Amino acid sequence: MSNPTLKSLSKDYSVSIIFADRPSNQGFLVNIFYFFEVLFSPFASIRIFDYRFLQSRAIIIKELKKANINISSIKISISHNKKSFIALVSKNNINIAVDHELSCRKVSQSLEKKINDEVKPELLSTIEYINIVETLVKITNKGWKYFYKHVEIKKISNLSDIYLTNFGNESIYSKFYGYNGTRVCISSDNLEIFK
Amino acid sequence: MNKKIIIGYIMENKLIEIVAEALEIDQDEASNDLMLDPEDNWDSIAMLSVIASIDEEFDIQLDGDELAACTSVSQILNLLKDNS
Repeated sequence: MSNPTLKSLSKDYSVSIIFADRPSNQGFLVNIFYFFEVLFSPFASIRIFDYRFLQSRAIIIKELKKANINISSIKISISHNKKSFIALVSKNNINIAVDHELSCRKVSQSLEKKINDEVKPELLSTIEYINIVETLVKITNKGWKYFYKHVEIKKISNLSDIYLTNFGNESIYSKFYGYNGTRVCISSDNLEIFK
Repeated sequence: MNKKIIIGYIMENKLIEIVAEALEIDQDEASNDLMLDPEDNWDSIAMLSVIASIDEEFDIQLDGDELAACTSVSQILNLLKDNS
């Protein structure tokens, strides 16, 4: 995954995904270029001084320009880990979010025990449970506390690799993908995206 | 030695152990002065690990947002003391 890659995720091209490495600090000139690129974009925010924020947004802007996608007409969900980031680009009317983690990522014994004993369905690993909840938090803007212990995650019987979370009147569907040593979780209220 | 000082010392050492495990680093590399870097390994899974371990060890439930605002182990220690 040396170069950023943009791929379409849905058949109707309404959702695309960008995978990119997070190169270490690329030097003063590149950072200045990134800074102005992001400053004069819809991403402009006080977080522009956070290098991870600046780097990922600059790469996303570059990839969207290459693909001729207008940044002001889309929604973007972003997930970082230590080595890479993923951006999910969708039409404004789609509720969708992404979270990803290295497949080899370890979880502390206390966290493993807490999640296993209290909330996690047997069919999910601890990291997968965390991935799903992280995407639910991103889609709904509700905190971890809202979902922890209060939602049930089920596998959909006729769609074996899709998980369903119901809370209140809402249903969110989640699906996992493997990519270059990472486990990617995408969640949306629109099941069609995953078919 | 004052009982409060002893408890503080034990708490500090246990906290360093907990943070080292969460950040997947050797305990020798961790100290009270260790800075927590969201650019590196201080991510949501590391924070959840620290919350779960502190709950198990000290029976103290830390708030996720307050923990996320901490930029060093010493700040977590202060948070722990405030909540104990």
